[in-house]
Amino acid sequence: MKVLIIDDEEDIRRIARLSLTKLGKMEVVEAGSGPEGVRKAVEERPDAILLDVMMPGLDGPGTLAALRSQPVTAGIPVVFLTAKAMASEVERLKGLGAKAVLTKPFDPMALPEQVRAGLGGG
Amino acid sequence: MESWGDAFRELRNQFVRESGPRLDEIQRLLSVLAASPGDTDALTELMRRFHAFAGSGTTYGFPPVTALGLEGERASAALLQERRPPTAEDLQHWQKLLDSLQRAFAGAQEAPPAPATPASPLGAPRPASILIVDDDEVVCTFLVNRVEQEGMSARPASSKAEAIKAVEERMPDGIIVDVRLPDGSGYELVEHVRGLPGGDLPAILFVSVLTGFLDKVEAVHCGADGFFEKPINWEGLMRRLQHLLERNRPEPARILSVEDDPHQSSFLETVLVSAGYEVRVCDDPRRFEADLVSFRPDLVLMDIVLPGLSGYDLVRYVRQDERYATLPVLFLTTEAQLGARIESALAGGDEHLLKPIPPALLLSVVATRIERARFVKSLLGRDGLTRLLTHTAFLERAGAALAHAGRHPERRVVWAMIDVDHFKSINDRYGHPTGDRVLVSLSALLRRHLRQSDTIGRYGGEEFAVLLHDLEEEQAVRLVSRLLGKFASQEHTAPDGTKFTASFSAGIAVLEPASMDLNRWRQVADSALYAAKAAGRRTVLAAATGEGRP
Repeated sequence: MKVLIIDDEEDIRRIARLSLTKLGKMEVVEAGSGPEGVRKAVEERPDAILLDVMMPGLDGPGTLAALRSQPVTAGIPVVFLTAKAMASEVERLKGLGAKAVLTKPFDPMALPEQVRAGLGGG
Repeated sequence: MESWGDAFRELRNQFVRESGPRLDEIQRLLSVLAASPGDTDALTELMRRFHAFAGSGTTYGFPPVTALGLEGERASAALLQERRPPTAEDLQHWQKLLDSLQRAFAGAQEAPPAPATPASPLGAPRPASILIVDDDEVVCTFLVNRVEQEGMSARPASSKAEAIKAVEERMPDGIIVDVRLPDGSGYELVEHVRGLPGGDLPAILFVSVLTGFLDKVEAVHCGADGFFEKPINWEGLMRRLQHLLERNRPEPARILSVEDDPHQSSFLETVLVSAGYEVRVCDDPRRFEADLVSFRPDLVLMDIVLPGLSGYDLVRYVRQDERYATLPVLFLTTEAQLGARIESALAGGDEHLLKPIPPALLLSVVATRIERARFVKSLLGRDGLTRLLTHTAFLERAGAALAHAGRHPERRVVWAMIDVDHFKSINDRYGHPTGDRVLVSLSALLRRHLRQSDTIGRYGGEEFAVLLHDLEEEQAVRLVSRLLGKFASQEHTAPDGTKFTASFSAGIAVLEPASMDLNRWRQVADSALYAAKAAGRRTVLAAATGEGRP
């Protein structure tokens, strides 16, 4: 399984990469911004995208809209990463079409399973 | 492959290192806002900076960093939403948060790095170093190549003097030595090595490229682990060397994880396996006992909530069996209540860890517990006075040797039963402390002159038992007779200054795997000892089993 991580924070990309590759045995591709993420999604055709909500410039919801607008990336399931652990926020993000919403800071040991569960859980 | 623990620790260190410039940036933004409070770009950037710490702190194992970041982010967001420039009070609040963040990271740097990987579950990854001592250049070069083919490192030495210099520089993991050296005998070299600090560890093999020069008894007596004569079976020699090296390496510790949640158990397994542990998952409490018996874990990780019963019940059950009295049990649970800890202590659990457990913490707790339990176990199997195996531990080894001989009948095993002569009168005449010293000197003699592979136990009060491998009956008798000679010539001193000597009698029984069980083997050795006593003591006699022998 190939996962694209879109997050402007390098810390987060690093630890998520370690967790998903080492513990989750997944392949990981990274992007440091929304536009780079959309480009990588087209090139790499990941099986899932882990998308940060709060990014400068094109933010998470904006990036999701851009992904949905292109046929080759429209169907890729997206899991949001947000620091706002509120039910209303989670509902809002799901309403945008996210498969699941994970909160930051995440537990690096639990991340791969949370991603898998989020994708499988409809 | 780099383990999860190492990789995580590396990222964590990087996170701490990089916090410096990030904290400086927050400080800079605070001065910008102090000079021009209306700068909303600076305020937005400040919020983002706090936000980043909030989102990453706990992930890297720093919950206070997340808490401080969240508060900084909340305070900035509130001002942005209200379109209100920060006051001096707001700036002071952020400054305090920044100072606390700095302290949180400084603390992390001072703290000693957590031992994320246990000291030695797998043994050292470096290749074994082998010293090859032979004055025949052709043989020496051949052996160096052969050893290097096996992935080990080899050092050649062409004389006894050169070998001693090499050993004193660095103790090798193994030594292959020719019996005849230009400046002395291989036996002298080995005896010297065994007497050096750490010299009991290397695996030592003798080779003799000339027939008739190798004396097995002499080889064993000086402390070698094996001997190969012309025509030398090099494959066999390499296998034997590898086997001896393996034996010195501690086997990986086994951890039984009792956990019915497949996600949780796969995480535990990944983290532990990547640190070099052998892991078995027990997901059904009904299989727990069978797993204990077949897997023989060094430690149990126990989930509290299991289908059908609680982890506490299982541990109470385990503790009733004395075989598991020293087995460490760690409870893993999400229950944070104090009650759970009390229950754990009552049930006989060693520690209580809250999920999610940071991998570094899990690994360090596991390593510490296993090390302590192994140490305790090693004490339990050893006699307090002589440090030799206890009666029970010796019989266990004898049972294992018996099972092994069933599979490899070509490998000889000899049981030697040794009993100090007139020990009661030594005690009566000179006192028990002196008697004890005689026993200690005999045990030291046995240890010094037998191989690592030979099993030595204190069988009873003044009775010792030894298993000797790869010797014929006649060779075993010669070897034990030599030990008797050494022991009988040792002078002991009583508290009143009286000098006296002691001796022993011994019975030798070669294992006949086809016709003997453990009991029978022991009886045969015992009756040989009895015969030696009857023959006037200070005697070594082989059993006259009469089976298959003229």
